[in-house]
Amino acid sequence: MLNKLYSEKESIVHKIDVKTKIIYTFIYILSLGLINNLVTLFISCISLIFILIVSKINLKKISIFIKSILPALISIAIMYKFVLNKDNFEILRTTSVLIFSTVSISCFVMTTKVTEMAKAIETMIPFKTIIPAYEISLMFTISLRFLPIFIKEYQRVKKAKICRGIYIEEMKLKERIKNIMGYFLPVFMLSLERAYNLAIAMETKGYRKKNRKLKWNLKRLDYLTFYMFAGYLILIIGGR
Amino acid sequence: MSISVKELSYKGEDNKEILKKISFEINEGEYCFFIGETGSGKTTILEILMGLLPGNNVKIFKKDLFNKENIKFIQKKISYVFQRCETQFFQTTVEKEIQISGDLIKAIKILKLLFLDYDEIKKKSPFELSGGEKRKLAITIALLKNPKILLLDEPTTGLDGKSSLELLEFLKKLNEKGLTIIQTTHIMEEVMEYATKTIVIRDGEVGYDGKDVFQQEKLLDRCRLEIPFKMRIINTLDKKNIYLKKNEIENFISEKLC
Amino acid sequence: MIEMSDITYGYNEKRIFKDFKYSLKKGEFLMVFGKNGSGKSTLAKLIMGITIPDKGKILIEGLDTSTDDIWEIRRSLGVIFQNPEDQFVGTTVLEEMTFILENYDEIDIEGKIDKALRKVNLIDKKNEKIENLSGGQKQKLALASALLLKPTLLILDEASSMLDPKSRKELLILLKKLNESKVTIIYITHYLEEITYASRCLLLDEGKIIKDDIPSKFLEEDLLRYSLMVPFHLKLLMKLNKNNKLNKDFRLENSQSVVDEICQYL
Repeated sequence: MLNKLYSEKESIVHKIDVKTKIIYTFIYILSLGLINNLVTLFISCISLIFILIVSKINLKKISIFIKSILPALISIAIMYKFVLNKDNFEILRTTSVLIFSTVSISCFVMTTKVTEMAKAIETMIPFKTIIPAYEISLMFTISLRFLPIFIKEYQRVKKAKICRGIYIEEMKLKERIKNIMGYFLPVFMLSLERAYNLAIAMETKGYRKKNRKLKWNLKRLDYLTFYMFAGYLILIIGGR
Repeated sequence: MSISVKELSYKGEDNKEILKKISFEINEGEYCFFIGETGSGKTTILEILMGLLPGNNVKIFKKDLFNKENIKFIQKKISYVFQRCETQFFQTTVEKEIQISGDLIKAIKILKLLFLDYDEIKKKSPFELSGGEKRKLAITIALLKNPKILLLDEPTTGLDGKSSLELLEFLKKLNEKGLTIIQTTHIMEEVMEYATKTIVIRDGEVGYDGKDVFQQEKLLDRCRLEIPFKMRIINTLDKKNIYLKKNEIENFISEKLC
Repeated sequence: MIEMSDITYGYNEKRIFKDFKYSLKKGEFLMVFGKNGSGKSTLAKLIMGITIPDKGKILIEGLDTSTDDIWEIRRSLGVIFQNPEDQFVGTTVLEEMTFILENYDEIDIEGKIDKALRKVNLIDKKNEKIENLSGGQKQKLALASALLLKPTLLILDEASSMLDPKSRKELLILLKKLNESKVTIIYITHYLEEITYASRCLLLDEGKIIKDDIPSKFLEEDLLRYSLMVPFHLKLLMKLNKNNKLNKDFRLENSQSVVDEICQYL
């Protein structure tokens, strides 16, 4: 599923090291808290649009994300205006922060391959002797990889139920909850078998905990983007 | 005719055309095989016939399948056995699985015909049975609803030779008693031994529909399928004016070699 | 190359192997047969090091599978599994093969990948998504990934059972070629007609070796006794072989030329 979100186009943003992208996205979202006037709002907006253009992401896909948070945005806006009586700039700021955060995360997700994300997270986790970085990253990779499998298996089980005369769409909520084990069990067992097979395959292909050489390996491009990002931060702080 | 399909089309994910206006008919009592390259749409056809996927112009028992009033009625008379038969299990023991599916006594009878002892497996979870046992259980459950049509998706995959044979012989007996069977496979020997009719699906279209599929050498080759050795021998001997039937071949050879 | 001594292994109160002994010479193309439950898959898992015997040792080129040597073993061991759907980590062909090379800290990644893909005729699918490949192509990909590190041993656990006949044949021809360049192959199958590609066959039943010999020494009666169904053309070939009416070595192809030749005897 997340793989479907990956935008195939080659752009500079795709080439930036994932670890720096994670840091930039995180700090960008934090920096949105620094917005206290129209200038800073404008700066953060323009920077984001700049990144969107450079990354050559299909804008239609981004609009899907925005549409999905639209109801939340509208309800917050209404609440701010009529219940909490905040002023217009506050409303604009909050909704913008929400939109910019969503868009920047989408931008990250759409320019990063899932396998690279997992590796980056594993490399970045500090104190590896105390924190089980390998296991966390493995859980992350496997969960993401299995999400589409769960969905597919669930659809298959739904079909199997129809064959046995069980039509879940026609049941009321109470009945549906009663029947949930009947869906959970086969989906779980089917996915478990696939997970087992995959685990064996991964192990025989050499995937293991010891001697995982995880280096930061930053290239020239990453240092260049560091300067650009630092520039952005200076602008934002200066614009306050 | 039991099943009548006219210009059925189906589009899958990403609007990919999987079935392109296919038409065929299957009469009551046929043992029909759908063969073709993997991914050619065979499983899709079975799922559409079961009403699991949307379609058009499909008549079963002279009723329009995709009419909301008919579909449940028709689905009660058709059974489908998935390729991964665990998809259909959802109870913790075989005993419970059968209890919710139908008559226990009938189930025990069917299992016996399939060389499975009910008492041995009743307390086990259906998921911990061996591949062959799972298939046999799935078929038993499918038969408990007394279907008129049985759909099977590659039922012999993963089974060893003996279990395969037991299964297919059992299906043959059911077919002789009047059950219409529709099956997909890529094992040509099964088609040779059991089919009363074969439909070849190539690129979402019907490549061949009839009883003499093994005369279609070029088509089979394009679908990455083979003519079974026995069939080749029969055809070659035919050309030499030695006419033999499938079941006579082995004796003929034993005689000639001793 | 492989030495298995006094292997005892079982789970759930069921002994699968007891005092099992076997040794395999380098360069063999071994086919393992047996009905379901005979232990063939477990045997494969033991050799791969996925399961460790309760008693006894498995040595591959002198390295013990139950110790950390197993990672050294896995460098020269390629494995291909039955289900083409469940054995890939990556989304594209390139990703999958890169994954393996990264696990072993290899350099010249592109070069090695190209070489391996060329060996299985998949070079044009280098950037293809794995889900768009056919079953036969997926198994070829699995073979290519196994070939990346120039293995000396390949294990295929019923790798052909989900493939159409042509793909099965193509896979076996590739394997035969590899065997000719000195790769040892262990191939588990229940399609007995594939026996003719093997240099050696092993028949298992209930965790015991029933027969360990060259393919032509296997007779129909032996196989039937152990619940294996012998396909028609193999029966025919065995009969001809038994009556010494075969002057070629034990080879069989489902092709018209072979049929014509056999029909001469009839």
